[in-house]
Amino acid sequence: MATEKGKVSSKENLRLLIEGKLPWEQVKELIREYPKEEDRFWKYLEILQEKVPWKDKILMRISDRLYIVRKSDKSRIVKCECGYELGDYRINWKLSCLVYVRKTSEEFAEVYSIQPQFPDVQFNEIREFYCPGCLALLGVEVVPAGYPLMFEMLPDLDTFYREWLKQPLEDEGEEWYQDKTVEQTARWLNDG
Amino acid sequence: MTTSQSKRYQIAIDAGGTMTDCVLVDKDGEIVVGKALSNKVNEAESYMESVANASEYINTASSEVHEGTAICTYAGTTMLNILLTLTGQKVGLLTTKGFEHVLYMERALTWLHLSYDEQMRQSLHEHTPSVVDVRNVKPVAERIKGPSYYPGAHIPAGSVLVPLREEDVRKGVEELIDAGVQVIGILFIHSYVNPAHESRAAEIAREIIQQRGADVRVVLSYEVCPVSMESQRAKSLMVQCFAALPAQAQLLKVEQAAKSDGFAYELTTFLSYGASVNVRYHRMYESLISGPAGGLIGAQYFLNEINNIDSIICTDLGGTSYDVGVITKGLTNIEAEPVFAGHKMNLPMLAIDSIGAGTGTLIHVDTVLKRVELGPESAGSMVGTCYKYPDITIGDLDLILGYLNPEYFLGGAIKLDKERALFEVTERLAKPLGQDVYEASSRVLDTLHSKMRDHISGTMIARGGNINDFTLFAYGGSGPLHMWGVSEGLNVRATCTVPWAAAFSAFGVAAADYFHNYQKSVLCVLAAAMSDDAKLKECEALNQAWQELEEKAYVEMEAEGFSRDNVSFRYGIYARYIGQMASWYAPVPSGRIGSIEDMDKVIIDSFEQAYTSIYPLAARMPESGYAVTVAVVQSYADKRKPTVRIHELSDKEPSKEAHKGKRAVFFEGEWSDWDVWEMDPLKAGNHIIGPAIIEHPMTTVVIPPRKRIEIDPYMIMWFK
Amino acid sequence: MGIVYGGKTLKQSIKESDDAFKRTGHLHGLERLELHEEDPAKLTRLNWSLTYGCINARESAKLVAASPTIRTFGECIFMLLANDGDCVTGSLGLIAHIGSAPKIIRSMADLNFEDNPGIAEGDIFCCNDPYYGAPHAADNYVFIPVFYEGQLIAWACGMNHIMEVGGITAGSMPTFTPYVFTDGCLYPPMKTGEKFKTFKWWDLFWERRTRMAMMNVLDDRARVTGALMIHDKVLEVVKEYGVDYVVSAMREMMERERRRFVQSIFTQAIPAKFEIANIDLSAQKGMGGKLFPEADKDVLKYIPVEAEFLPDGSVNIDLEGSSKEDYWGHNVWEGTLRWALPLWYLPQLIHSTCVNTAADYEVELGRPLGSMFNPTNNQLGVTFGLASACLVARMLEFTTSEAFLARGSVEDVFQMIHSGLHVDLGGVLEGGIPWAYSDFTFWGGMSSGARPYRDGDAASTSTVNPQSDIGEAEEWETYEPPIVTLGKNVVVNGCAHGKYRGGMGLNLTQMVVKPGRLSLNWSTPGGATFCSITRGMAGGYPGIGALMVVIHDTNLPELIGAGMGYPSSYKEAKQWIEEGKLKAGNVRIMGSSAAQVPLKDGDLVIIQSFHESGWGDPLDRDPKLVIKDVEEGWVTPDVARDVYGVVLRLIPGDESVDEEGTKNTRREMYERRKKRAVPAREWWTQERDKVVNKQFTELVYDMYANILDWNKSREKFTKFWQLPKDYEL
Repeated sequence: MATEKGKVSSKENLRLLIEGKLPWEQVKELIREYPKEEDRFWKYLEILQEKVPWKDKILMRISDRLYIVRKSDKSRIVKCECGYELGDYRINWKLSCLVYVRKTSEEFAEVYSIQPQFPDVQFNEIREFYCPGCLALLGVEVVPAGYPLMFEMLPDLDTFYREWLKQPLEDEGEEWYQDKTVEQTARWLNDG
Repeated sequence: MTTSQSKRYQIAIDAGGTMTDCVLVDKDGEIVVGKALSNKVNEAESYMESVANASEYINTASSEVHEGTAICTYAGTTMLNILLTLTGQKVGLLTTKGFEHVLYMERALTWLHLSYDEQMRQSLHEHTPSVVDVRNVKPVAERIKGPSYYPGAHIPAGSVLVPLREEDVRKGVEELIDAGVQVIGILFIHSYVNPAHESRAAEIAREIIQQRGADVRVVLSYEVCPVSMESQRAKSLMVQCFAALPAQAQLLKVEQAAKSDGFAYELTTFLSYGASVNVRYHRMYESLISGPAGGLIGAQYFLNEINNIDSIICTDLGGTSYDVGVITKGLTNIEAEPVFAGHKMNLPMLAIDSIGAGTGTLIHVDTVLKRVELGPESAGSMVGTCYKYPDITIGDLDLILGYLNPEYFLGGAIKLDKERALFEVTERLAKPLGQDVYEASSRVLDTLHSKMRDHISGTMIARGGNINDFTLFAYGGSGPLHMWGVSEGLNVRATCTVPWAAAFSAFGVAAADYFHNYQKSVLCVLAAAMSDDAKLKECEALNQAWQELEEKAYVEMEAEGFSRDNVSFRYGIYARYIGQMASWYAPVPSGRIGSIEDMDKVIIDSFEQAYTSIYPLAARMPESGYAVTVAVVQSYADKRKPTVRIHELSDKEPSKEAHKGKRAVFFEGEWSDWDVWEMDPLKAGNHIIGPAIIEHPMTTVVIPPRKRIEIDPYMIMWFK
Repeated sequence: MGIVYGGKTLKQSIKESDDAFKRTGHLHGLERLELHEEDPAKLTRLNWSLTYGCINARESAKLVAASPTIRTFGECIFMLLANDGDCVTGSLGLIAHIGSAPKIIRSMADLNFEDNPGIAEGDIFCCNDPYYGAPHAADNYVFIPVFYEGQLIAWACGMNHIMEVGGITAGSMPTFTPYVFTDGCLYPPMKTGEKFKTFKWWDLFWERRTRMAMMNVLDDRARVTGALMIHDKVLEVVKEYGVDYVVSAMREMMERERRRFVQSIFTQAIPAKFEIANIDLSAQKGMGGKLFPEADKDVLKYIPVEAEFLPDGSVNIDLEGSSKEDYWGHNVWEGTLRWALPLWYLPQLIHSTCVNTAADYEVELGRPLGSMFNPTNNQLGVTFGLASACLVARMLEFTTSEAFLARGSVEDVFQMIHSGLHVDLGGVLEGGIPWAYSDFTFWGGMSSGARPYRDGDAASTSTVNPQSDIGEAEEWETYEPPIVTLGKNVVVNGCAHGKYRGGMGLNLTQMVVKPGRLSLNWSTPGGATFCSITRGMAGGYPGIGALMVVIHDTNLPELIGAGMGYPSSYKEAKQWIEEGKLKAGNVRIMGSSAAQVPLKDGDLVIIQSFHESGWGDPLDRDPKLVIKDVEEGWVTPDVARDVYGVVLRLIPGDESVDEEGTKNTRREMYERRKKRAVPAREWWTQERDKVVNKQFTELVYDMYANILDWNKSREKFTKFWQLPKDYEL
């Protein structure tokens, strides 16, 4: 009955939601919506594609500012909203970031406001990953020194598009759902 | 003195946000109904109009009625509407240092408004907006010791642990006056066992207020609600400060008007559980839902006692609020710590909950985002753009869609401007949304109806009833008008209304027993090991409490015109097994205990009966002994209740003169001509087949296509 | 001939259910939901009747009990289980138990209870032992079989968290408990009543084995009461609908909810692999002493989660690499892990007219043998196993939220704390009366984390109980005579920062008055000295653990006597100490646990709850939100400037954002990031040297040594750092 405009899950409302501007009353209606409308993902991609200043095809959003996009050369890479490219999405994008590690109480106190109620420096370091392009803070890890970087998310893109969305990607392949992070560190070691 | 028994009339009032209804009952129980638009500024005026309007039907002057009136009970939703529409006084709070956020944190009870499945989705949890700006809460260093689970084993309850820091009080009061608050509430921890700090703080506050010549009231939590649990007590205190004080001012005006028109006694109002109190009552917040309570009691009297329909969802839709109450298996449950409008407070009240929704509810249209939101504000008696209100309301939509008759509002006493409404709704709703005006309007009604349905299921969850076993009863001026929309898709057993739905709450106030409720805390411990003598000694405390309360009752009832011989008593106790924390109410056969036999009969048997009526036998623990915690006395005076007639059934076909013609109505996307009937000529047995509309000076029944109304011998109109 | 409806034995009917699912992928092999298709309204009516039956049972039973944890908080749940043990529906309350209750029924089947002690109409069974499916000693279950014409058609179950378990130390969760023998009175499934009446010995058991006999007996009454009400409700419903219909309907309700779970994954998530972990300090050094030398040590408790959403909509959770089983209270049995799963899937993936166990069938758990999640020694302590399980649920909620964001269900991204912080008190009052108690304030309610579109809320959620409630100080003090609350409020600046900030943490400041002999036990599993989780979302900072401070030997009584008042928060207490106003003999920061801390007159006990996670880069935060926080007093101006780079003009009554100043400050902050940071490769090269040279602090060294003991986690660690094959620690 209701027109696309009238629906709470309208493209307009989704855009506002993404910008954090959708009034709480509408957000609640969205949360209550079950099941979610069929075309949600496609609307989402449209909005995101309109939002970013570049043209590469967005395949998936993986963080506030990070997207997996398909380049004209058919590669699938992680790209920041600012346009900076962080390499093959199968390699932990943190390996393409600028890294700052907080180790002292003073450095901790800059981001956690109540001393001593913050992680104990004898067991923890705070790792911050910045986009080399726009210097935005893309990720934070609070772990002991020496802990391998956490690969936040490796999506099974082919399965997702083929089996869940019923619209297969044209460049499907075995290789796409593999963690290749260690190949990168191997290269680093060898190029020594 | 002439006691009220010689008087002829009873006046029962339900002052809603939009209409003030008057039910006048004469000696034979015959009733007439009067109505007037509520006057929020001065309720005395709408009160007088409403009484005068009723008096006209019996060709009498209001003064004659007032002189002949024994009981005048003024119930309503004034206070409730202030709370729902957040239009109360600017309140400041002085509280124990360290508890400044008590109203902001509100105990993390962020799910009270949600249904069973939604409570689980904690992403939907949210706080009910506090009626006090967190910046207007000021800390005062002080602490008093509370009671202990191990009596006698620690510092006595009420001992001062931290003396009152008077400079904190002064600083706080000064700041609050600077902030321009109209009333200051004071809540200190454990003040209910020792109010010394609250009283002293109040003294200081009043001094400063006087020095500064400010007009600020001071209210103490122990005066308003002297029971444990700071968060709930704070809520009660805030309702008293925010909503009850302004409401009480109105009640006193009304009493003044009634007296100057010849009424001889004191005006009474309704507590939220149906007991009557004098309008000077200092815990006026306890009458928060006096009006809706009337409706619930009326439904119990009329549908349950007389028609034995045992499980009822009572829904009162007025211009401003939508009140939903529940009667389960004939019982109206009185809750001591109810959840109401998203607040959990200490306030004995019937199982009723309200939201801001009605024909006066404002429609907000966000022209940028093309979005519609409803309320909570209400046009109240100004109805909408079709009458005196600047913004569009639900009433405007009912009008342009053809549900309401612009020529017949209050029987034509008020003309509604359909053209204007159409213009305004087009400009403010349809154009911004880029939709057809009628399409857009019915979409907004859909939203209203689903909001009301949500409120019903929410209330049902809170009261733990299965909606399929319940009958939906729609009343209030707008109840029958939206009954079709609310009942749609709601799996209730049946849906009905009555011809006098518009004034049903007032009818309920008239039908209610006239009684006062008195309670006194006692501690009467009957441990298994105790000797009979020891037990009887314990019972003395109870005997004394009952007697005290009886005396109190005599005095108050006298002022309302009832001599001692016209007052009768019922007795009760709150009791528990020793060790338990909750106590249960048990009515008891007598108010005196003279022997062990009495004790067994009056206390033990009554308690066990009440307890096992709720719990399986396995929950009993007689071996641990009993403790009586509260003595209860209820003082009753006879009064004439409205009589209900049984009518002969006439044919299904309504008589011709009831038919007023046809009217174009917009429904499910198209216009069609609907039959229009006049309510009064309709008879028991008549079937009114939809699409049709039944009009009455005070309400309108909408019957969509494929639906119909069947009227039974009690004139109950069944919607099928 | 078995007791179960249809003549099967309990064992057989459970096996049938499992086989049917393995065979068809549908619960009870239901490819069609016939009753749903024939008359949906009828089935919905039945569904509500059963659910309301459970809700009513809980609401009524609450009042029978004495402890406010049940009465006010409602820390209890009442459930209807199918005859094979699966939970069909339940009241709200401690919803996690829908995951564990079925395991206990399964244990009773495996133990052949049908033959001995026998399962008959009117019997009452109880259990609280994790080895048989329950989470820990504090959570006590009552089961009452529902028979119709001699056949078992369902189970009525009641459960609540008691306040005193009779453990090595007073309260409901002993901080130090290396063995089941110190956990408190754990008991396997047992028959505690007949003919709907509890045996006398059962009351005596509570009276002799726990420190709060009366409360525990009353709580047991409450459980039995509620279970009986459900028992009667089921028979009432059978009368109305017929037994065949009710039994099949319960099965369809199970399959329906299973489908709902998979449907939610398909429509809101994505198939993907996620990595996350939780690390916390188990501080037992000095606690074991001569009695338990094997337990007298500190260990970093390590819980890595690899969660994978599979193509078929099911979920695979691998806990490989977790800490080994140990002499602590953190050992987790399967029932306890299953207990925690509903804390993740109910709020995020199932929104329904009944809470039930169906989703459990779609979750595969990798519990490496010999790890804390699958101990080989069944005598090791279990009290806090459920807290570690909670952390697993927390991490699943986190990764599911990331899946939601990727899919476009932005509105559903949500995070909250999944582990409480716990205070047990016990001693002897001056009057000579022994007492013990658990403070439940912060189990009952916490704040919530930030979302991609709004800040978290303060005091708004509770993982363990959707009906969150932090109670009332006036009521708690009744049970804790020597404890006087001087502050129960929101912690200023108490949040993890981000574009949207987490909900502010909560504070309890308490003064000790006339304690007699009193000691305090404190534990915050998955908290203090660590982040509640090892990584943040989208650039937001992860939430941080709780803070417990005890300030001994103060001059507070003198200060109060002199009319100076008292400090009502940690911030204020610290300030008073620095100003020399508050004298403090010893300020003790407790870390993640402390046992038997003696409390004296005038001591100050201060607890600050978890501070919730932020979302996104703080420098992206809208200055309007920052100024609102400052105006309302949640955030101080210095934090506004130093963390958010927002400069404010603070003219009272006319606060405003200094646009220019803000622009400059933020520019400088970006510059500083550039100056401080190095390319990942450079960082990796430096770090690798340390790893190769094994430059770790002691406990971290042990943690990595453990990681290397497992296959997959060893692979991950050594390959990431490109370490030699023979790398060992």
